[in-house]
Amino acid sequence: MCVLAGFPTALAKTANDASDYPFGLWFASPTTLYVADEGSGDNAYDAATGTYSAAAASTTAGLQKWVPDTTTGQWTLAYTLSSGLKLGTPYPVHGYPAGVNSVTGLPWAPATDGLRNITGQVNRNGTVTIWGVTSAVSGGGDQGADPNQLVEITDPLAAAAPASGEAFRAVIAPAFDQVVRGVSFTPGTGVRDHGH
Amino acid sequence: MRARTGIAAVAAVLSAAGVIGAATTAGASTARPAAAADSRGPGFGDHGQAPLSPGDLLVSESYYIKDPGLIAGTTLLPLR
Repeated sequence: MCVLAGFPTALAKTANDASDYPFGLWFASPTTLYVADEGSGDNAYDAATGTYSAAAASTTAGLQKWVPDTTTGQWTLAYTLSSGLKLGTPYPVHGYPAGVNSVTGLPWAPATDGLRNITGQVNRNGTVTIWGVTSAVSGGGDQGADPNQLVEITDPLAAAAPASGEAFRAVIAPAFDQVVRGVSFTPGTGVRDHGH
Repeated sequence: MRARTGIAAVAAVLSAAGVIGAATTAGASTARPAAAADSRGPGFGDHGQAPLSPGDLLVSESYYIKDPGLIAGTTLLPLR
């Protein structure tokens, strides 16, 4: 086991809101790696804007695209996709408590903080589609148990910047008493099925 | 640092695999299980009984239920 050259090596104990919080990995090709970043988990809330401010301000959370730099011999971050995730913006969940949790002093309503487990497929038209499980922040007291989502996004494999209008969309919406944990393709899924 | 996993206020009792016909944008398999599904539609709540094929997208989920028949257990550590 090793850390890919160019990837962050800072120790977790020194992490802050601006740090990387990598979770799931998916190689779209030998030279394209997508990394899910779950966000810091900081549930600081700004009542003035009605958002979880740390999550909303994150520039690292979401789906990071890494490619190797043949000059330096290191992997480099091409860009981070988060459009459509609405990081830090509370979302309603039918049946979930409303208002402020008196124990935490923060809203019950969760908001997306980033992505955790991911998988994807290469499409015939040169794009890739990635499915991801969202992480959450909230005032509920147990953010890992908050209703979350399964989202998907399609990204041009060879692109050096996000395509115009490229954004995540929900495949499974948040629901009361339900948490999406993992996503993968069935064994045997491969070239024949998707025409790489 | 964030908690990596949630601790259910009640109990996490089930992790079910759902098959999604996720073909809308990506061309993933549209094969869907024939087994009975719950109110969310085909593929959900099949508890692994549905036939799966390569190309199906699997999703694992936790459900939290309030069942008075569920009681908290205790852990007994082995004696040295």
